[in-house]
Amino acid sequence: MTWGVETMSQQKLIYLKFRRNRLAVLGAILLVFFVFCAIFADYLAPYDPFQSDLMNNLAPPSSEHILGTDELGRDLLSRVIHGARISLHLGVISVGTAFVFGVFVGAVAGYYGGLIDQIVMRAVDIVLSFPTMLLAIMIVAVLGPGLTNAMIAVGVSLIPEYARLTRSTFLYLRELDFVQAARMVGASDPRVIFRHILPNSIAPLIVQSTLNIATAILSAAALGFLGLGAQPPLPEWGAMLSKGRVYLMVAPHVTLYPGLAIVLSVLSLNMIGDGLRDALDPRMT
Amino acid sequence: MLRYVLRRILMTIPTILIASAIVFLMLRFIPGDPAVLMAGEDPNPEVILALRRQWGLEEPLPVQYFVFLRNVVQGNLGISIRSGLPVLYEISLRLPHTMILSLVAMVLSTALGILVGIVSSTRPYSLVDNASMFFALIGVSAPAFWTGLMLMWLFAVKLGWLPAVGVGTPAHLVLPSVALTGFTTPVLARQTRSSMLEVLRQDFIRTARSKGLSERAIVYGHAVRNALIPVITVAGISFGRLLGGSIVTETVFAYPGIGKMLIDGIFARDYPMIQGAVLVYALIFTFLNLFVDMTYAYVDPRIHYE
Repeated sequence: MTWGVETMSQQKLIYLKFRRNRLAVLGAILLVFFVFCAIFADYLAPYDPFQSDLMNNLAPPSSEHILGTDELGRDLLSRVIHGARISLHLGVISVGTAFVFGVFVGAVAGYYGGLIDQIVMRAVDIVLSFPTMLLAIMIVAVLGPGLTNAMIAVGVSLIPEYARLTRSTFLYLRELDFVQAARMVGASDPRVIFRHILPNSIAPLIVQSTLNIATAILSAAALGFLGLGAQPPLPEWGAMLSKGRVYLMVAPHVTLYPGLAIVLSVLSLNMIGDGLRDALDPRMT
Repeated sequence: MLRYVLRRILMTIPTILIASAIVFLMLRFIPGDPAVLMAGEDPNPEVILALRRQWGLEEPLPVQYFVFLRNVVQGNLGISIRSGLPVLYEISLRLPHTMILSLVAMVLSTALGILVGIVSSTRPYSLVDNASMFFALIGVSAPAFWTGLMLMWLFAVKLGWLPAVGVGTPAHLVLPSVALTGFTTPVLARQTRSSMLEVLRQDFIRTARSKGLSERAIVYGHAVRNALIPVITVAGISFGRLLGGSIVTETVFAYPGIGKMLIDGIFARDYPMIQGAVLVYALIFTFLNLFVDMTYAYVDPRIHYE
């Protein structure tokens, strides 16, 4: 005979712990809202985000334009909604790329150890000693400005973090009995790595990825702001801020709202990341 | 201790070499002839020839790297395409500005972050704690350039208390450094809080309490010093991010530092300037990490210096 508590699955327990964290739930609701905006931007946006109206530029918020208009008279609300699509897309793609490459490098280093590990980790340490932002700017300086290059730059600059995290969990897991057992029955190295170790090291990687999407959105917005990321007329939040700041004195709303969108989307991911970390940490009850 | 310090200083050499190799390769990765890139928009055949000789561009890549290193060590970073002045001179004009801004921001955020963390940890889950941790969460989520612009709008445009852009007086430093601390302070506050909470649960704190020490003596005399070790590691990492953020913040406030020089260089395709700026950042980061490791060894007597 078993009691309910004992039969509760790991996933259920994690879900319950996550749900008890009010900030994390608030973050999840916010994120769902942004994802909804991103998917249905074409239907939600009241105006065409590229349609300019020079007679009506820098108009303050009104019933016609809820968030006002920008320097070319484009509806700011529509642009902020479409910006969600660009920023989330960018965050997911760049983090996904970093995940694949970083996890692969870290897995190989952690699983095989020895000289490969030494070389890879030394390189990772050196790259990690540069802040992500400088690395991303350097990459864009070589590749040239643009949305795709910004995505590559942000993605590449996040690789070392994954490599280090994956390596440390692999170092620990490869010594455990279940891995030794798998090896003993003759499983190949790729099989041990991908079927046995990787699924068990996924929890910290998920937490890190949630927080990294937040970092990626911030970095890409900074690149856009510097003029090195998404180029006008694309409604990317950072690029919108960079155009709007010229009119800070007369039309602060052009700077205010895209920035608020960045803060709220990044905040939602950070709240979820924190909540997941607490929920997935077996030491926390 | 001395041996550890020496060893750690020696370890910076490969780091600097690799960083310089990255900077060196950067210019070679860009399609086109590096000499033409370095000569600027209106290349004169004689200038290009001189540059080829000076940077050994006809030699194989490893020799080129050696020539590059020799030039850099001799202080020859090339001539800025835009201003026609030596890059080293341009750096010497801007480096002090970047250093002052970063140092002010670092000191400010360390002091504020640790203080908020301590106060939060001594009253866990109180209103003060919850409010500061919520603000900390917003702080790490707000981009420094946006915080900077909003501060500029409020304090320079609306209230007129502080200058919006440029340098010159200490007042010019206020807005950019506050914008820069926006990220580091919350990170340090959160780390201080969680490691203080961990330390406050330990036996030696209970012993201190049972001895009848005042709460003040327990927190500041016993707990803080032990809680600070992980905070230093996080401080090292977030100072790196702070310097990265200074590139953007300098651009927001038209602050004439190395970060603005880098961005202006990218737009002007002024490759010698880009190279110089990145090299300066690489050196700053290397020494920052060295400094953090030294502090770490100093604060934590458990670190063995073998």
